Amino acid sequence: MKIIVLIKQVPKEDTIKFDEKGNLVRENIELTLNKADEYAIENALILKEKFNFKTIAITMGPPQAQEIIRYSLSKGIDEGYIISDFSLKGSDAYITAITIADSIIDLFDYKTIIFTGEKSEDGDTGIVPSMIAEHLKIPSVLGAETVEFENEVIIIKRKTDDETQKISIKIPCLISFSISSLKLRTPSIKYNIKSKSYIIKNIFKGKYSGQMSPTYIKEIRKTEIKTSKNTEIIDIKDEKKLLQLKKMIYE
Amino acid sequence: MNKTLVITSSLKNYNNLLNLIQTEITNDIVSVFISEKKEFVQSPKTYFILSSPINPFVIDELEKITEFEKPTIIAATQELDIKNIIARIAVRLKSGVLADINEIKKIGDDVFYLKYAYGGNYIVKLSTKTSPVIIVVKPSYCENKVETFFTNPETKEIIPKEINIIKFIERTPSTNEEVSLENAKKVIGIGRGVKSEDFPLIEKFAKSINAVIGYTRPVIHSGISSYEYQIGITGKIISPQLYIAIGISGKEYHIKGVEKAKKIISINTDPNAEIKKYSDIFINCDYRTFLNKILV
Repeated sequence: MKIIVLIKQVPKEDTIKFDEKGNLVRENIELTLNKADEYAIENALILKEKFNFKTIAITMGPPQAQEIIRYSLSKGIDEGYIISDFSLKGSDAYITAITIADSIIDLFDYKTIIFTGEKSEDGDTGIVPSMIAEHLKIPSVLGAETVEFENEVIIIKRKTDDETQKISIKIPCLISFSISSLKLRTPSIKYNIKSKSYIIKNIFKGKYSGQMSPTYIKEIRKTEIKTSKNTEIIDIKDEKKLLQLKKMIYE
Repeated sequence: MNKTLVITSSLKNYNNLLNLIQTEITNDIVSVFISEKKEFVQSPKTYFILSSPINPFVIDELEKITEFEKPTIIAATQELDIKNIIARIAVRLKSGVLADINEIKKIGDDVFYLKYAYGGNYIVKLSTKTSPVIIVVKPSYCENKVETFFTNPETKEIIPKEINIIKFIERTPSTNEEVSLENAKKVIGIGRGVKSEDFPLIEKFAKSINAVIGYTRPVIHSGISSYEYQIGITGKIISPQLYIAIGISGKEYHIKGVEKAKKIISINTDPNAEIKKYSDIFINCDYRTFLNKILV
């Protein structure tokens, strides 16, 4: 059995800046692994330890996205690949999904499980995973917290707005993970050394380009937040005011 | 002209979306309700796909409906399983998806799809070259302003095939005590300023005032809780009667999610915290001091 973990490098939120015209300032942006993808990696490693599954991390992005592949190798992922080409710049969810599905097809077989994060912090659409599953013609379930492997099927545990659910899904399949209270491991020294010398192969196939994206940004502008209020400032020592406040809160 | 196919599995999200579409786009609506049980739907024509949305055959049924109805717009609500279905339908129709749309605006004959981005600091106008236009909508707010009653609504029931490649083995409804963030009358928001060892204290406070607890994005990202308890533009957009912000600085992505609250009280050690100007009441002190005074 094989787990392909699809991961993405995203800008660290507090380092994102825009110039006066609203263009993203590319200098000094710190990049990091998308948070939900950490949970996909952790779940893959748990299955690897228990059942000796082979684990492969794959990302699509510019050459510096190799960093997150090395990071996942340093946590114990076995292999890593990148899908990278200048022409992919500006790819939307549709082109991203079709490119990934197309590029990983040689690594994919009927004993493959695909893990990924529920959504990326920068694009924030959560559309790509299901699109990839549709291209590969495999079933997909989104928003898992943890998974188990029993009698050749995967058992997914997840929480929706009104239910806690256990779902069984046959392999091959795709599962996206949400951020949960699952404890994440830190990179180990043993794997870290191995990850440094690992050669990350580019598996891009040149069929699609970012320019072919059906969706695009027409305009971007700064949001106006509701005008500020007439704030009443209460001194914590003002017992009379606090009593009134207490009444209001407990009402 | 703008015939819209509305796809959902949640009555609450559906009603919000329907309002938005009727106000901003059209009354020419066909609804597709995907759920084991039938709900009362306020739409001129409704297909009930009587199955759980995790059933892969639902996608085939929806594809048939789409082929027959030929909508200009396909608008879906934001439940995870609906997102899954929409993304897969989009691939079959070779169309892009505009996801997490917060606002829809019609100006003249043009419809614009708007989404908050980069932590709610920016508003992005999105467009697509493919047709039908497929959108997943997460309304920034909804007021029940449109009350259209359709005479002789048409309904159709579809029972898709079942398959055992995906199936539920256990479903536990969330207990009634756990009111969702969106429905809560009182909400307490926890920010980075709160130490995790103090969470039990805040839980005690929440219990005593009957409030639901939510968290800011950085707190959720530290692995404290799941997305469903995240308040803000990328989490839940809430409109409680009372919102108490504890240890929250007030970044735009958070404010965008709570600005519809009737009353905002914030407690922060920083006298110049951003959140102050959006609050009705601001208390400049350590939250522990505040809780000690306010807890009965």
